Amino acid sequence: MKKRIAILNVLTLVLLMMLPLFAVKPVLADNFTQAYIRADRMKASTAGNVLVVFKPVGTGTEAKVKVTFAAGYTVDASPTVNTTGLPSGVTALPGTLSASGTGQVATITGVTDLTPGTLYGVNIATGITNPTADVYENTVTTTTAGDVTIDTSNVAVRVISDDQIVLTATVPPTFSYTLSGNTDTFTTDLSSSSVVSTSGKTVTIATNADKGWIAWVKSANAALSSTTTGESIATTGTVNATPDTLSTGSNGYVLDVDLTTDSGTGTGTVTVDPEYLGADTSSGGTLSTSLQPIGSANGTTDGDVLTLIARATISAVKGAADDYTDTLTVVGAGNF
Amino acid sequence: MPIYIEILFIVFIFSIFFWHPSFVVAGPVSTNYELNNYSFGSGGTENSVSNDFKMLGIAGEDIGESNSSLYKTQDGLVYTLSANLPPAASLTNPASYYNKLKVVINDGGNPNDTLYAMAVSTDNFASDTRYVQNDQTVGETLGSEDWQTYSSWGGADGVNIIGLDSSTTYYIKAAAKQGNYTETGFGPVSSASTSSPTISFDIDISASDTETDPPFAIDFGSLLSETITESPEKVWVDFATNGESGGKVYVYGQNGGLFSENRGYTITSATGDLSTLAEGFGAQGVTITQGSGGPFSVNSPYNVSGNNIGVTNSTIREIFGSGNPIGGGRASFLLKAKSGSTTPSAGDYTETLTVIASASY
Repeated sequence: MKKRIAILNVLTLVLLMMLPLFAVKPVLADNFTQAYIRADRMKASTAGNVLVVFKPVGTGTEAKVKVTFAAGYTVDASPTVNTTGLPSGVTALPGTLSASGTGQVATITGVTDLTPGTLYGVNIATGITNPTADVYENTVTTTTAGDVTIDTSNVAVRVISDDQIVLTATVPPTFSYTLSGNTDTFTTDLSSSSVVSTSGKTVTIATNADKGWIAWVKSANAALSSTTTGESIATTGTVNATPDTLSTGSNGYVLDVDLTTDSGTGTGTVTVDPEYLGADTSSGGTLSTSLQPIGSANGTTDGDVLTLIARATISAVKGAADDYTDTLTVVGAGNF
Repeated sequence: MPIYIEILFIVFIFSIFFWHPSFVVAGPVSTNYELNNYSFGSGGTENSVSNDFKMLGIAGEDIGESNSSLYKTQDGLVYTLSANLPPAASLTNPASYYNKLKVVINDGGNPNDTLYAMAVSTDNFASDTRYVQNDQTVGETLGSEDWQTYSSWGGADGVNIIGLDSSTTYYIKAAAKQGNYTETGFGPVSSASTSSPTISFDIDISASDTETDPPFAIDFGSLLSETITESPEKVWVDFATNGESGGKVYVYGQNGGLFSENRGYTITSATGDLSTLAEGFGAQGVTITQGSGGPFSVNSPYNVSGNNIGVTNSTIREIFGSGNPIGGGRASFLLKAKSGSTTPSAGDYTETLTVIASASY
C-alpha cells in the first residue's frame, strides 16, 4: 500500500513538473499592423459612411469586428454595413455581415476567420453621426465569437466644422451667326425656258442656347425689280408652309433653303421651315416683306449651316434689263 | 501490479527528466561521476567536470546577500563572475510615438559579447512582467533568442519596442550575462509613455497661403466658351499625424462636375488636358510641403501641371498623402474648368467638393 502511495506521489510530481510543457500560454491582444477609419463626411454633427480598414496580426479565429466610437458620436442601434466601393488593395471583410449598435460600440458580426497580414475593409454605411468638431480616438477591435480580443488599435479621427467647398460658375450665352456673303447672282440670265438659280449663300450658326436657334428672312420687295424697265418678277405663291414650284414661261421667284450641315456637336437638330424646303431645283418658298422663319434648331450647336438659293423664271415678254434685283434680310437668334 | 513494473515505470519517468535539459533532479550519473547533492552550502565539489555535466563550485565558500530598497550586495564566487548589472536603460518617446518607444541599453561597461534581455511592464512589474522579443515586440516569455548583444539591440542608437498600446506608461529593466553562471538579475527601472494617436486637418480657401474659416465657396465667374478658366482661389489643407503609416487627404465631388439644374446639364469632370477636351472640370495639385516627416506628396491623377486636371467625381480619391508620420503638412490644389461651344448657357453651374482626411495607425 505504501509503495502504491509512493508511486502515486511520484506520478503527481511528474505531472506537476511537466505541466508547464503543456500549459496554454495566455494570449495577449496585438495591435493591428495597420488600421484606419475614414468617414466620408468629417463635418460635425453629420452622418455618413464610415470606412474601417485594418490588417490583422493575431492568429485567433475572428468572428466579430467592433468599432468603439468616442463619446460624442451617435451610434445607431441598427447600423448597416457593406463592402462596396472599397479602396484599391483593400479586401472585403469576409462573412455574412450584420451590425448592431450598443452604446458607443458598433459590432459587426458574421465575420469569418481572417488571415493575418491581409488588409480588410468594411463600410458602416449608416448609423454613425459625427460629434462636435475636435479630435477623437476610436478603437477597432477583432474578437472571437466569445468576445476575446484578438487585435485592437486606437485610431485618431478628426471632426471639423465644415469639409465641403461649394463651387459656382456661369456659362454666358453665346450666339454666332455668319453669312458667307452679301451678294448672290443668278448663275445665268433669267430665261423663259428654264428655272435659273443663284449660286447660294450660307448662314452658319453656333450657339449654346439650350433651346436652339431660329433664322428668318424677309424680302425688300417680294420680287425681283428692275429700275431700268420698271418691271418686277413677283414672288410665287403664298406663305402656307408648302413650297411652290416655278413654271417655265411664267414669271416666278422663290427662295429655296437647304440644310447643308446639321452639326453633330451639341444637342440641337436642325429643321428647315417647310415653306422653304424646296424639293428640287425648281421649287422654293414664297418671299415676304415681313420676316418669315426659314429654319430652326432645338438645341445647342457648334455650326449648323443653311444654304439659301433664290430661283426665278420669266415669261417670254419680260422686259430685258440687267438690273433685276432684290434684297433679302436674313437674321437669326438663339433661344435661351 | 507487480512491484518490478512500478519500479520500471519510475525509472522511465526519471529517465525522461534526465533526457530533458530543462529539468534537473537529483541523482545524475555518468561513467565517472555521480552528483549526490545539489547544495552549495559550506563544502561542495570544486570544478567537477565530465562529458555530460559541469559543476562550478568552490569548497568552503558561501553565498550571502544583503540588500535594502536601493542597494544590494552579494558575495560568493558566482557573483564575482556575474556580468555587470546593466544600469537603467534609456526609454524615451522621441517623436510622439503612440505604439512604440525607443530604448537604448546601458551596457554597464560589459564586454561586447555580453548578452542583454529586457523586461517590460505597464504596472512597474507589480503584476505585469513581459519581455522584449528579438523582433522588438513584447512577449510573454523570455527565450534564449531574446538575449542579444548591445549592438544587436541597436547600440547607442537603440531600437524601438513596437506593438505598444497608446497613452500608456511602460517600465523597462535590463539584465546581462556573458557565458555560463554570469547572468545578472534585472537592473533598475526606467519608464516612458506612449502618446495618443493624433491627426490634425484643416481646410482653407484662399488665393494665397492663408488660413480661412468656413463656409467655403469658390466662384469661377464666367466660363467663357472654349476658354480654360482657373478658380480664383485655391483649396489649402493642413495635415499632420503621428500615424505609423502616415495618412491621406481625399477629394470627391457631389455632381461629377459643374452641374446646372436649370439646364439639366453637367460640365463633366474628367482626367485629361483641357487644351484638347471640348469641355471639362477637375483639380490640379499646386503646392505641397511638410515641416517634418513625410514626405507629403500629390497623388495621381492630380500630380499634373499646365492645363491637365484630375477627375473629381463621386469616387473618393487620394489627392495628397504620406506613407509616414508627418508634421506640418500643407498643400493646395486649384480647380480648372472649360465650357465648350455647345455648353448650355446658365448661371447656376455648381459642384460641391468634399475634402476629407484619415490617418493610418
